[in-house]
This record gives sequence, structure tokens and C-alpha cells, in this order.
Amino acid sequence: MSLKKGITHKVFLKSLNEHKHNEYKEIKPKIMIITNAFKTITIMCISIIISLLFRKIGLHESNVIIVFILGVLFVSRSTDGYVYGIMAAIIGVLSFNFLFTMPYYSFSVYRPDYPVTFIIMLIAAIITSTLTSRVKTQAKISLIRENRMQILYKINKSLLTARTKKQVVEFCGDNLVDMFDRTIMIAILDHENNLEKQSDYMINGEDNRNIFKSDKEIQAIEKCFITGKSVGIGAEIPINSVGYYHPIKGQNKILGIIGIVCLEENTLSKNEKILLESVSTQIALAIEREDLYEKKRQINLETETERLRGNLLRSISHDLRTPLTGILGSVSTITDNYDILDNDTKKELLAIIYEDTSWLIHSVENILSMTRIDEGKLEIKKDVEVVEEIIAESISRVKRFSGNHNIVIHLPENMVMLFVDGLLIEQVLINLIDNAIKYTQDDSIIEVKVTEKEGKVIFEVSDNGKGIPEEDIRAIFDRFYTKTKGDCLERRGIGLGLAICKSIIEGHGGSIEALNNFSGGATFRFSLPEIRSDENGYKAFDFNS
Amino acid sequence: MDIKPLILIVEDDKPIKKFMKVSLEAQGYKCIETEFGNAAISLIFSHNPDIIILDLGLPDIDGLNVIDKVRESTKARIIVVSARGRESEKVEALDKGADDYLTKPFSVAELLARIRVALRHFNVDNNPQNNVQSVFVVKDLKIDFEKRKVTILHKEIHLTPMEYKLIELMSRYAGRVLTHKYIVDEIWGSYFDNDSQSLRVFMANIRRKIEKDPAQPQYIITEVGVGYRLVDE
Repeated sequence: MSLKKGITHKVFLKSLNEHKHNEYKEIKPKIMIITNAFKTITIMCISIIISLLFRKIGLHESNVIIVFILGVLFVSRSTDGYVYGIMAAIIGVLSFNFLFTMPYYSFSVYRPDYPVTFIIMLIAAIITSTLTSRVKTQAKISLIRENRMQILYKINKSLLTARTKKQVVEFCGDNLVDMFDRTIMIAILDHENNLEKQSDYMINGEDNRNIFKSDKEIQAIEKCFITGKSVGIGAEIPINSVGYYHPIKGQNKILGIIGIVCLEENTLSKNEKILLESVSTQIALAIEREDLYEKKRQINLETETERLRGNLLRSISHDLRTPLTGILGSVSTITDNYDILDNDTKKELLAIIYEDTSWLIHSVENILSMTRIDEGKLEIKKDVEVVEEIIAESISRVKRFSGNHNIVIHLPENMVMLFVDGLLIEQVLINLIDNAIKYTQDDSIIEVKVTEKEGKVIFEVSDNGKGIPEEDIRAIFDRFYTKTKGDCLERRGIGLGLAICKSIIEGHGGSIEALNNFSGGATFRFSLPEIRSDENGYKAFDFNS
Repeated sequence: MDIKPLILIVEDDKPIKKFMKVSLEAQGYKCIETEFGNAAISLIFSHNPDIIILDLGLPDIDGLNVIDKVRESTKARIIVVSARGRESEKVEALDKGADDYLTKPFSVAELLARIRVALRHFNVDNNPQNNVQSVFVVKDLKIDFEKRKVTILHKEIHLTPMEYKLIELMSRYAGRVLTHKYIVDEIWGSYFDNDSQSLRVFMANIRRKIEKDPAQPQYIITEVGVGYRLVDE
């Protein structure tokens, strides 16, 4: 696919190059005059020789006239402009006069009708030559137009595939360099409406990069940007700068500048300027398209974030209210009835407060992580972590809530290393274990298992509770989802926990799933890519030293 | 002579300050308190507390600045208090000379445990004659520094020289968190460019030798994102 693309690109460049040599490098006038004159003389000489031959054979002299007109036709076909045709016509008439009319080899004539013949012959020759040359110029103009269209079409096509502004600039830069065979600079506006650092496109390895950096050029660029007119030698604003600068005009403002180096009086031809103008319009269109796309994406993102934030707030205010009510109630009960209540009741109430606050802390931590993820600011600070350290820390943190649940841990024999954000993976484990605690009865067994398989580390948190209802399994990782039927030990829960787990695991290039065990109970399983010990250099140290 | 240890609490949140003060005084410690970093600095110079509990987020100056200003001139143990998720802040505080840290939210039990550790070290440092211990014992783990022998329940554990060096270093600062950087600098020297990766491998190996269940360690506790702590009680 890419190969094919490469080939077409090459063909495209080739056609551009040919085109460039035919049209854009106008051949120097001196050489042109000489070749044209040479052609004229040769063709006329051939006509004379043929005419002489005709006379020898004894053909009528009207044939000679036809031969000369034919010669004029050939001349105007093969030379540029109608001057040579007219010259050929005059040469033809004169040589006819000189060679084929009585007296031979003299410009005087005996027969009175000859001057008429001469004039008619001249007029016929001139009309023929001008007509031919006009057709030719028109053909030439349409060829130039066609080529220009072709180039624009090709640029347009390549711009359609550009996905970012940077790519737009790159594609255009490449195309312009090929087209003009000069050093090109393109600068476009950045987000803050400043001209971005110039992107230079070099050709022939010439070190022209610094040309655009001189004060004069920078001034010219600024002038071009402010006025929106082309600046440089022979431009709308003539300045004696090395570069020719053309603005990229958008709908409302100048989007950027194209600069072309014109060294040693090698200024741009009119054609090149027109082409530059058209190309700059294309670039403007492409850039505006990208701007709009970017704006739209930004708006979409903001709407999405706003929606999530709304959901989050609703969910938080609902789910935090419950424990807070508990705390407030218990505290006011104690303060209001301090002397009436017996110590046991007070202790009980205090225990409730303790439990509720622990729960609040846990929820708040989850909410914080979620908002960090939502804002797209979640900095995953990856480091090398040892699996057992992460497991150990999460178990110790979850123990506070575990009550009478039994937590069983299975770790692989050898040491497993991960390249992850330890705190986040810890939070995933805490959430999963905490869920298991929340949704199973006391004395249930919660199993935490780590295995290695095919370069992946698989974590499993399973319980022997009632399992997940089939209708819930699919949506369980969605935000704000809590079990549809709150049965038995249902405690309040923000449906955020599992959504966070999913975001974190996916942020680490892993995957997470929930399933029911055959023997009852649910398993949450996630996998993360493992670090291979031999890839990371720590084997370089002798651990037995 | 039994002087009550003096604890300075620097914390701008009133309820937290209150509960720390009440629970510490209930344990027989003497407390002074302030909400401001600058006030804390002058209190440190005027009262010379034994322990400083320092919240890093203060209204006037950064808690880290307080450490910078007083570390040279006081022997007090500094325990910093900071929120979870700000591991780098803790590491910075520890590297600047703080002795320990507490992660908000913390329980009273955690607070008291940290205070006990800090006091023990404070006393050891102030009584140089006791400083040279020949044996370190915690739970079933015993380290004999003279014989360079590590035993668990009188069963000898075979450690490589490097592993022994590590556990010796940690036992010297038992109860305190040692940052990865600190351990690496002490063991390998600072030219080693803070390579915590190999340190983790060593730690995992040691843990395999001395812990019954590496997933629920009794001796070497990992403080994720910060460092390691060898328990001392």
C-alpha cells in the first residue's frame, strides 16, 4: 500500500519536474532567437531547393508559390511567435522574386501581374503564419493551465490525507520544494496566534536555512503577515529581500506565510506567482479545515467532561449524604444525651462514626482518582514495581475494612516485576478486594492470585459469594453503576470503583474483565504487560556479591 | 528523672490539631502548637522540642522550607504530614532531613506508633554510650552485628554480603522510612545514579528469605512510591 503510494508520488514528482522544465524555466531569449532564426532559414532554404527542383522538372510556377506558403506554414508551426512566420513570408516572396521570375537573379520584374502575385502571396503567408502561431500559443496556455490544475489537484489530494496542521505544512512544503526547486519556508499561526517557528524545506542540500533568520527577512515576513500582501522583489510590496513572501489568507485572518528563496536575481516568474497564489489558497483551506476539526473536537470533549462532571456530582452528593447523616446523627446523639447514655451505647455510636468516616475516606479517594482521570491530567508515573510489594500494601490497607472475611493470597514463586504506577495499581486491587468484601457475607473467602502467562501478569480477585447477576456483568465497569438488586449485605456504594479500575488498567495497556466462577462467586481478572528481566539491565549487577 | 517529652504540632487544620493534641496529652506527652510555619521556626528555637509534627501545607510558608531552616540547628525528630498521592513531596521532605511521615488521613494508633519510634531514636542519639548495639531484635528476627549473623527463630538465614549490608542499614534506622535514594546512596554510593530497580530486586530477595508470606510482610514494609521501613515493634 505504502509502496504504491510511494511510486505514485514519484511519478507525480517526475511529471512535476518535466513540467517545470518545459514551462517554468523559460529558456533564455538569446538562444531562443538563434534557434528560431535557424529553423526559419533552414525551412526556407529547403523550400527554395524544392522549388528549384520543380522548375528543373518543368512544373508550373504556381506550384512554387504553394511550396513557399507551405514553408511559411512550417516555420510558424515550429517557431515561437508570429514574427518568424512573417519573416518567412517576406523571405519567400523575395526569393520567389529573385529566383523564379523573369529576369532571374534580379529583384526587378517584367510581367506586370507579378506584383499582385507577390502581395497576395505575402498576405496569404502572413495570415497563415499568424493563425498558426495563435493556435499554438493557445495550446501552450491551456497546457500550462492544465499542468497548474494538475498540480493543484495533486496538492489538494495530498492535503486531504493530512490529519494535523503540521502534516499540512509538511505536505505543502514538500510539494512546493519539488515545484519550485528552491528553498521554501512555511510558517503558520499557532494556538496563540503567534507565527510558529518556521519550518524550512531544503533542497539540494544547500544550507539556506539561515536565510530566513536575518533581520531583513524577519521584517519582510512581519510586513507580509501584517499587511496580508506579498512581499519581496517584484511583489505587491517591493522590498529588496532575498525571499519572496506570500501570505496564506484564511477567511478572516492571515493564517501563515510562505517564503521562497530567490537567490542571485533568480526572481519568480509570473506563472510561478500565480501558482504560489493558488497553492496558498489550498493551504489556507486545509489549515482552516484542521482548525475547525480541532475546535469541534475540543467542544465535544468539553461537553463530555461536563456531562461526566454532572453525573459525578449527582452521584457523590447522593452517596456521601448517607454516611454523613450517620455521622451527624451519632455525634449529636452523643453530645445531646451525654449523661443519659451508657458507655456501651456511646462506644457503639463511636464505632459507627469510625466506620462511616473510613468509608468516606475510601470514597473520596476514588472520586479524586476519577476526577484526575476525567481531566485527562492523570499522570501515570510509571516505575519498576515488584508485584508482591503492591499486593502487600493493598492488603494492609484493605485489612481495616475486611472484618471477618478471609483473604488468601497466592503469589508466583519467582519475583515478578511490572512497569506501572504503583499507587494506581494498588488502588485497583483495593477497589476489587473492597468490592468482594462489600458484596459477600462474613466468613467468605476472598482469594487474590497472581500468575504469569505469555509475558503478561494476571491478577485475579475472586470470592465465594453469590456471583454477579448475568444482566449486570456487561455494564459492571460503567460509571456510576451499582448492582441493580441490592440484596443481603448491600451497603452504599459509588459505582465509580470499577470504572476507575478499568480506566487505570487500560491506561497501563492492560485489560480487565469480570466473570462468575463455576463453583459460585465472582472473579475479577486483570492483566498487565510484564517486564522481562533480561531486558532491563538489572541483571547486570551480581546479586550474590 | 522523668521529663515529659515535648512535642510541637504544626498544623493549620484546627480539628486535626485538636485531636492530635488531645490524644498525645492523653499519652503523657507535653504539646505546644501553632498553625504557621514562621511561628513554628521561632518555637523550635525557643522551646527546643523533642519531636516536631509538621504539616507540609501551611498557610504562610511551605513546610519544606521549615525543614530547611531548622534541620541544621535542632536534633528534634521531624515527622511530616502530607496527603496520599503526594509521594514525591514526602520523598523530598525525607531527603531534606525529615525523619518520618504520616499520610493523611491517619489514625491515632498510627500517630502514636510514629511518635514512639521517633522518641526511641531521639533517646538513642542523645545517649551515645547506648548507641553501639551489638544485637538488633524485632519479633522473631535477630541480627547479630558482631557475628554478622541473621536468624529467625534461632534458625540462621543465609544472606549475601550485599543483602546483609542492606538489612544492617535498615536495622540501624528501624522503624523509620528510608527512601530509595537514601538506601542506594548509602550502599552503592551516590555515583550509582538512583537506580532503585536493582534495590527492589535485592529487597524482594531478602524478603523471600526472612518473610513467611511476602504478600503480608512482618518485617520489611514497602511504602509504595517512597521507600522501605524495617519494623521495630
